[in-house]
Amino acid sequence: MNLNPSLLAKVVEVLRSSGAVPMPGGHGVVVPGVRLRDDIVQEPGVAERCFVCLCLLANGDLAELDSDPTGETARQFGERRLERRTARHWAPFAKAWFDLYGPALAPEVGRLRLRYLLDAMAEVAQDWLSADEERRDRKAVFTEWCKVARRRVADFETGGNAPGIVWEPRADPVGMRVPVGNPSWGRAVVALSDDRATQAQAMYFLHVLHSTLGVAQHSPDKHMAARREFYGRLRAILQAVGTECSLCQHAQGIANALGAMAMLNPPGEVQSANTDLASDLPECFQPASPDSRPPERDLAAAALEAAPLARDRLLAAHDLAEAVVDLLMDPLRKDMQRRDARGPPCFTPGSYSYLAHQAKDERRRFAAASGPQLRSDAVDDAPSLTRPMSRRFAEWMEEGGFFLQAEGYLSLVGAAPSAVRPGLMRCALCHAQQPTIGR
Amino acid sequence: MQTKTALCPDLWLVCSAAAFQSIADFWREEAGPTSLLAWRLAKRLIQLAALPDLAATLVMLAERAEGCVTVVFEPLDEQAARLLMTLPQTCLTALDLRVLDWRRAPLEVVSSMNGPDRRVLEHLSSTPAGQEIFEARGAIQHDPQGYRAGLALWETQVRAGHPYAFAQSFPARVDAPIDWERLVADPPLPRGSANDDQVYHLGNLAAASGSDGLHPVRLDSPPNSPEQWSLSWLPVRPRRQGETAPGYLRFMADPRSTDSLLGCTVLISCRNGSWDLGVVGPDRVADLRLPEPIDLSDVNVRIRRPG
Repeated sequence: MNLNPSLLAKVVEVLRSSGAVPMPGGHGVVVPGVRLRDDIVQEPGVAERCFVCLCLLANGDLAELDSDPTGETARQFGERRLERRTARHWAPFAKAWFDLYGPALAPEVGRLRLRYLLDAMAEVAQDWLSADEERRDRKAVFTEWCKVARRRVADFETGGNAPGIVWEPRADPVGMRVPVGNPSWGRAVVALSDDRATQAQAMYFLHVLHSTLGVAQHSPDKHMAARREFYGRLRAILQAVGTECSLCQHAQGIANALGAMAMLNPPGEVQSANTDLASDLPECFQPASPDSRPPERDLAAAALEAAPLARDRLLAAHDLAEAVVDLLMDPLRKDMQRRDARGPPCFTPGSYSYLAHQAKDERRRFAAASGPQLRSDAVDDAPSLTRPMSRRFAEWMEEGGFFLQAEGYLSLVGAAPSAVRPGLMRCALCHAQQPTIGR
Repeated sequence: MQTKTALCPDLWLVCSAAAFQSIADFWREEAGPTSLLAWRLAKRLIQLAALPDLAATLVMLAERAEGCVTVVFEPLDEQAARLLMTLPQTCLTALDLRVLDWRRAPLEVVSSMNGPDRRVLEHLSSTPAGQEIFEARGAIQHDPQGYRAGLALWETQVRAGHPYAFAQSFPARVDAPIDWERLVADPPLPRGSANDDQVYHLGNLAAASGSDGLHPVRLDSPPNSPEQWSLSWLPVRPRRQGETAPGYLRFMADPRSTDSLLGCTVLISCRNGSWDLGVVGPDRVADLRLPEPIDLSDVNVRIRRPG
C-alpha cells in the first residue's frame, strides 16, 4: 500500500521536531514532555535513534547482509542476537508511538500509524546516512534492511491478538482528584516551606519516579541491601548536576535528603521518619504502590498556588523525577560512564537488577494469590502498557544486550551512541556542559 | 434478600476537539462496533466539552448528583488547573470527579473508556463472585443488553491480552467468566398494576410547543388531570449552534398536588421511545437525563400509584 506523501512528510516533520524515537522492546519514551524541553540535550539525536530503531527491527539482519571481511561484527551480533519481536513486544512500542505522536497525528494516520512511523524513520535515517561519506556506503544495506523491518511491522499489524493487548485492565480509576478542600494539601504547603522542604520534595520525587515507572516503592526508612545500588546511583546522578538548567536547581537538596534516609545508610546507623512526614501529606507524597499513578503536574502545582515557594519546589521535584525516568527508560543513554569515566554518573546494570527484582517479586506475589491457572508464561512475561518498567525490560537493560547491540549498529556507520567530549564534564540529566560539577 | 444498587453510567468530558476526534474516529474503529467505547460514544457518555462552559456543566451535573465524571484535558496546564481549583465545593462533594491530561496518558484514557464503569471495577476487584448488586440506570437502563455486550467483549479481550493483569486486578474473577446478566440487572418493573395507571395524552399541547430539542419546553397537566403537574424538556447547552445536545426530561408536581403525587412512578412514552422517570420524591421531581432530544409531538404521561 502506498502512503500519502504529504501525510508522510508531516510525520517526518513531527519526528524530527520531537527529539525522541520509541525503541521496539523498550519504550524509549515514557514522558515525552521531558524530551521536548529545550534545556535537555538529546544524545544521540533523532537520526541516530531512527537508525538504531530500524536496525533493531530487522533483528540483526544488517550484520548478515553486510560484507564484513573479518567476520568480527557478525560474530558479535551472532552472540548477542536479539530475539525476534512479536506483537506482545511491539505493544509497548506502539504505545510509546501513540503517546508521543498520537495526539497530533492519530486521527490522520489512524490504523496505519506504525507504517507511517517506519517510513518516516527510514527517511530521517537515510538523510543522515547521506550526509556523511563513510555512512553513505552503508545506504544500500540499510535499504535492504528496511524491507525486513516493513515486513515485521506488517506482521504486527495483522496479528490477531494485537487489539486485545491495548485494553489493559486496571481496577483503579484513571485520573487525579481535584485537590480542593483537602487539608492534606495545606499541610503540604507548610512542609514544602519550612525546614522539612527537601525531605518533602524527596518524598514527592520518589513517588513520581516510582508511579511513572509502575514499580512499588518500599519505605525509605528501612534499610534493604538489595536496593542500595539503585538508590545510590540515583543519588549520585542528582548530585552530579550543574546549575545551568532550571531542572537541576533543586537536585542537590533532594540528593541530600535521599542521603539522610535509612535506606541509603548501613543498617541501624540512621533513623529516618520520612514515611511519618508523608502520612500527613497528600497521597502523592507517600510511598507508591504498584497501582499508583503519577499526579498531574500542573494540578498538583495549582493546589500550592498561594505559596509560590512551595509550588516551585514541588514542580522541580516533579520535573527531576520525570527526567530520571527518561534516563532509566532510554536504552541509548545507559552505560555512558563505563565508556568514558569522565562522563556523568548514570544507571548501571546493577541499578536495573533491583527494578527487575521488584517487578518479579510483584508477579510472584500475585501469581501465588491467583491460583494455579496463571502460574505460566503468561504471568511471567506479560507486557504492561501502563507499567513501563517491566521485569523483562529491566532484565534486558541489566544484561546490557540492548545497549551493546545499538552501539554495534552505530559503530558500523562510524557513529557513537554518545558524544561526550573529552575534558568537558556534563550534567548527568540535561547533558549541558558544566565548568564544574559538584560530586 | 440482597439490596441492589443503582448504577448510573460514568461520564467523560473531553475538553479537546483533536482528542475527541481521535477517540470518536480512530479508537472507536479500533475497539470495534460492539465495544463499550463505541456504545458510550453512541450514548453520548463520552462528550466533547467546551472549556469555557466546563464549570457550568460540572455544576449542573453536581446538582443532578450524576456520579463518576472524568474530565480529559489537552493539556492539563496552568489555565485548566486554575479553572478546576475554582470549582464550587459542591462539585467535588457531589461528583466523583477525576481529571487527567490526554497527552500524558492517552492509551490509559481510551482503555478506561472501553472498560466497565468505576463502581463496577471497584466491585469486581473487591467483592467475591456471586454477590452481584447493580441495577441499571440512565443510559444503561435504556440499553442494558448493549452495555452488557460491551462488558462481555471487554472481558474477553483483557483475559486474552492481559491474563496476568486481569488476575491481579480481579483475583476473585479468574476462575469463571463474569455473569454480566446477574451483575447488571435490568431495571425493576414499577410497583402497582398497569391497570391502576392514569394515562394523560399531551399530543396537542406538545405539537403546539414546536420543540426543536434545543430550547426548554414546558407542558402543563391537561384539564382532565385531578392533579397539577408539568413535564419539561431541559436541554443542556449545545457545544455549537444547531447541534443536538443531551437534556433532562423532568416531571414536576405542582405544590398543591405534592401529597397525592409523592411516591408515584412516572412513565413517559412518545414516538421514539419510552422512559421511566422514576419516583416523584420529596423535591416534587421525577426526571431522567437523556443523551439527545426526543420528539415531543405525541407524548403520553403514565402515572403509577405506589403499592
